[in-house]
Amino acid sequence: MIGAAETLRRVARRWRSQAEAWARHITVLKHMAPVLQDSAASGPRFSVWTGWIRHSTVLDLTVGSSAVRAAILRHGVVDWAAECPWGSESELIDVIARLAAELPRPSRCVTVTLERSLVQQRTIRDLPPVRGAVLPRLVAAQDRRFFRRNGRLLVTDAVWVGENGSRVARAAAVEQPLVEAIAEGARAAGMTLVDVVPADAPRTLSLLPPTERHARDRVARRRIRQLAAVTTAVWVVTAGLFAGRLTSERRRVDAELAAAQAPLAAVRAARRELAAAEAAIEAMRLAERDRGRVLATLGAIARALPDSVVLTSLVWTTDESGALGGVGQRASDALAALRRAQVVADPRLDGRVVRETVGGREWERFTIIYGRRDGGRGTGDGP
Amino acid sequence: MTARDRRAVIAGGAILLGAVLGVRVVPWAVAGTVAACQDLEERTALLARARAELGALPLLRDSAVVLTRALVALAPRLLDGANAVEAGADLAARISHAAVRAPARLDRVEPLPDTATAGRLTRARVQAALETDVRGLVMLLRTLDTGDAFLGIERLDVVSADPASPERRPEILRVELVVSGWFLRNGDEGRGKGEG
Repeated sequence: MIGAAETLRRVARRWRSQAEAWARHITVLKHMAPVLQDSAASGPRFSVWTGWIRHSTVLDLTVGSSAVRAAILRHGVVDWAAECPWGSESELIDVIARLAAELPRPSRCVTVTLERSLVQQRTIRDLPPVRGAVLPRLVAAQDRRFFRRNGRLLVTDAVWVGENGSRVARAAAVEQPLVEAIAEGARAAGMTLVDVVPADAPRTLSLLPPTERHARDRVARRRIRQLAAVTTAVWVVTAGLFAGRLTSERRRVDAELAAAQAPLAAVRAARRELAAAEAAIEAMRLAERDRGRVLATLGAIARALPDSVVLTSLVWTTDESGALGGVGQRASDALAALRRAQVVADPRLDGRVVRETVGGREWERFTIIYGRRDGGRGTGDGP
Repeated sequence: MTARDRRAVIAGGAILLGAVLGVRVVPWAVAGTVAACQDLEERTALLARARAELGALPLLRDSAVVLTRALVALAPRLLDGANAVEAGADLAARISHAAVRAPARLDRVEPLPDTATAGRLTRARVQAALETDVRGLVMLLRTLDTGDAFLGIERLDVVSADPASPERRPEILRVELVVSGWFLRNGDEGRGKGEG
């Protein structure tokens, strides 16, 4: 039973170490992202770096108060590990360089975890509710208030965390010469310092030395300027291409229009000629239709009027209006006959009927107008 | 100049540059681009219409052939002459000929101004005054109506000279009529030349 318990404890320890290794690995990759992006801005292409992330090894350094432990993770499993004591910052530089030199495979990145004995961690309450980006500066400005300095400069960082429903600041500080020595050691080993994080602290806390931070800020600013320049250039090129396309398209359309002018003029002239021909044919068709109208009207009037009526005058126009002058026994008979026969439009007496004696008989002299009411006898050229 | 001053100068310059760009340059560029795009659209539409017109050319040719045949067939129906004077003279001659056949005594024939046109055709009008009887009038009108040329009688004014005359005397009708016909004007000689 005791042996089995011991085995279980060993398995549990191994699982725990593996879990911690995974967590560190994830942290390494997370902290590597900005560095890799910065490097990609000045390096060849990001896809190259993406491949490099997948295939490169990352040196994981854990710095304690008296020793430095180095490990290389491969697929979440510790592939290589080493430990080396250190006593001062100058020794730490050499230790890091020596550990890097002993790596089984070359590594270009290193991430550093500082043990609790080297880091001062605080939970700070009653801070003004500033933005998360401002909080580290607020804490750094009052580092004497929150941390022990021991006569040395400090590197601090702080983040907001939730605690029992309220926000508190978790801050950490480390002596600046220590992290400067770590950065110097990484540089001496030819490796990129991905991040310096305190152990057992929020993952977002970063204790990179000011020189490294400034360098990264410069890289970030340069990258923003480059992005702005590239964006502006893209816009200018796009605008230029658009204007060029517009101009070329307009030239092409103008050229085609100019080329089409002559045939178009011919087509339009032909259309005009055709329209003129159609109008001429229509005019002749109407003229043919109106042939014989006068004779037909005269014949119809003669047939419609009674024998007792003698026409003395007649006016006929093409708009079917005119006047009839005549003599008869009764003017009303003539009018009624015309209305009955409907040979002319709207016949009516014009003026009064004059009675007179012709050849010993009583006759009525009358004038009948027909056609439009407004025009009456039309042109006024009546008899 | 301190770094703070330099930053202030740079920020001020950037604000000024942005204001000039935003207030002047960008609106001008956008307005110019929009106008150019609209102009291009209009020209493209014009070109499309031109292409459509050119595409209708074969149809136009077919119509021209048909209309040309119809116009040729109309030639005998027109008055002779290339202008109003000549056409008026031809019309007067036709009326005179009809009056001789009626028979009727032609007193006068006067050209009337006319501005009516139909394509390349122009109308000529004359007013004639004559004396005849009922038979002569009917014959005259029939002759005018059945002639080769399409003549239109636009106005007929008939007055019996003496309606109370004894029946044995021949009836005399004073006739005034306005007759029109169409002629093909020749080239530049058209409306307004020789008319009226």
